Amino acid sequence: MRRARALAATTLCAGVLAGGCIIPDYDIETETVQGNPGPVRMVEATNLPLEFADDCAPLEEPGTCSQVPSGRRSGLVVHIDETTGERVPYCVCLEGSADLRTVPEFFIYAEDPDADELYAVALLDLDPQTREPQRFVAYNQHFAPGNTGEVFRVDEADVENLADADKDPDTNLSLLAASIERDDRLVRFRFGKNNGAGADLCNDNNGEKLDAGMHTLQILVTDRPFFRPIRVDAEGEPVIGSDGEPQFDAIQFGMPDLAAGATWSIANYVFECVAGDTEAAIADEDSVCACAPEDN
Amino acid sequence: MGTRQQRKWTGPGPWLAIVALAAGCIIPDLQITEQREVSNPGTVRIVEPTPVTRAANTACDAVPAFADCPNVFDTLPSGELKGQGDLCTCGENQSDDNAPGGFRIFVEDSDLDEEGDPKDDIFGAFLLDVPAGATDLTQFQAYTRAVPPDVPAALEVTAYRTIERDQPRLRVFQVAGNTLGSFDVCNDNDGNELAPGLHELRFVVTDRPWYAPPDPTGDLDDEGNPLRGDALIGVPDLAAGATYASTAFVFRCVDATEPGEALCACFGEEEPT
Repeated sequence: MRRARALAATTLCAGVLAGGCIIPDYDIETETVQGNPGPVRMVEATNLPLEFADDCAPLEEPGTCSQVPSGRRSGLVVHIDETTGERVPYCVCLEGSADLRTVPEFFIYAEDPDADELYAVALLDLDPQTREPQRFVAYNQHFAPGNTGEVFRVDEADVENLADADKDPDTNLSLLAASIERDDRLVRFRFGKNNGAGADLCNDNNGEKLDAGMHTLQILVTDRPFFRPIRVDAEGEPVIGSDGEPQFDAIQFGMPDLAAGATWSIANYVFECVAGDTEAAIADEDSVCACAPEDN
Repeated sequence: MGTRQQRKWTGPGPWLAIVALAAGCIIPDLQITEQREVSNPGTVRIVEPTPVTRAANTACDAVPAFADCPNVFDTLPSGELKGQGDLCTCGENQSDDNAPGGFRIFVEDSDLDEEGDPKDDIFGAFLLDVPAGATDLTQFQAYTRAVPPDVPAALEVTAYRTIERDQPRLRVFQVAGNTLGSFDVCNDNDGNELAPGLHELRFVVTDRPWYAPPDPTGDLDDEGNPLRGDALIGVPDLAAGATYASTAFVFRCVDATEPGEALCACFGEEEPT
């Protein structure tokens, strides 16, 4: 039997060679456990010196250098008064009042070398020691838990329309040039409502007001759907539905599916809420806060 | 220094060009495709652990050879930088007992050499309170004694396990504490204290040496490349294909001399406040 198989294989090879044809390899599959070799990472623009305009010019269009689009960078979130140019605080306002100082919508960018679909969630003041990260999901109205963003290719961007937002105001360098030595596929997530009114971070976390003090808004992006545990019964056995399939509990947004090989990346935005929730503070025209009744 | 972008021609274009030259005719370049040399396919990224639920750990337990879920080693979380209490600007020759201790920042870069060893050196630098449009980052360099910006990250000897991908060859920046073992952000930015108020401390990493602009003289080196000036710490050499990542720590320095509700823990040559 073994000899017959060897003879058949030899005959096939000889026939192929004699025919001068080439066997395509697209039906040949190799098994691998590297189901997710490329980790996801969040990317943001960085400050560039003026010298870059010259140094990148031989490689790309004059005045450009590879960058992801600009936008709100992670780190400290502050409000700048348009008239004075000074930093003014965000405030926790009285019940029924809102802070007129809101955070305009902004984009967050991520890349994944495997071109996986990406999933994101916003978490507020995540306790690094918690066993329940899903309890820290926040600002659902501005950032739907598990949203997948949209593919954003730098080389396909409409540079004309984005020119103002995506040029560095000081260097005037375009921030929409293709990457050097790498692919340019980004995934873009928007933090903010469609109507563009901005996010009242201190007064409207899903309708709840925050405590005065420092807060950290974390955007977590992962390259697998968020973990969803199999439902188990009192004995710890999986609950099987009438269709014979396991039943699942609620998705644990904020929990990357590590068992499925998910990778994750985070960006943190830190803001301070000042206590402005007194009648006197609201009545005081010189108040550092800008609280106003919500119907205004 | 990483290889700057090179170009090579593929497809039938070169042969067509030779035939065309021999025949003395001109051909369009439609068949000539440009292929970019990729010397830095693996990007650098800063990694932090993520909290893991019990159910997720149970799911990982079902993966052969795993008991719990794989995770990055513990580190000081980015975002709000928290100490043991209020962080305070204490005054000359004083230190803050609330300051956090030294900690580690972990970085991945997947580029390996022929032997399977990490290929890229990873450099990191702290930048303090950089305005959005700043073009001269050198003046915002900070805490260089805690992390020297010209010393590449060390290879972390202990690997953390991963599922569905190769174990990353982790690098580590040890953010050194001062002689007291603390990262006294409000009182010891290379010996200087910070003004009271909110501060943003950004840590930038890159997988190429920091960008060095061409020497203003325009002189060339022995290989005909422009001579380079001093490195601009904090600026990734994008023209050399560098990738970069950053993370930020935000903290408030309370003025320890101001009466109020702050719970400072200053100590030093003068009496603690």
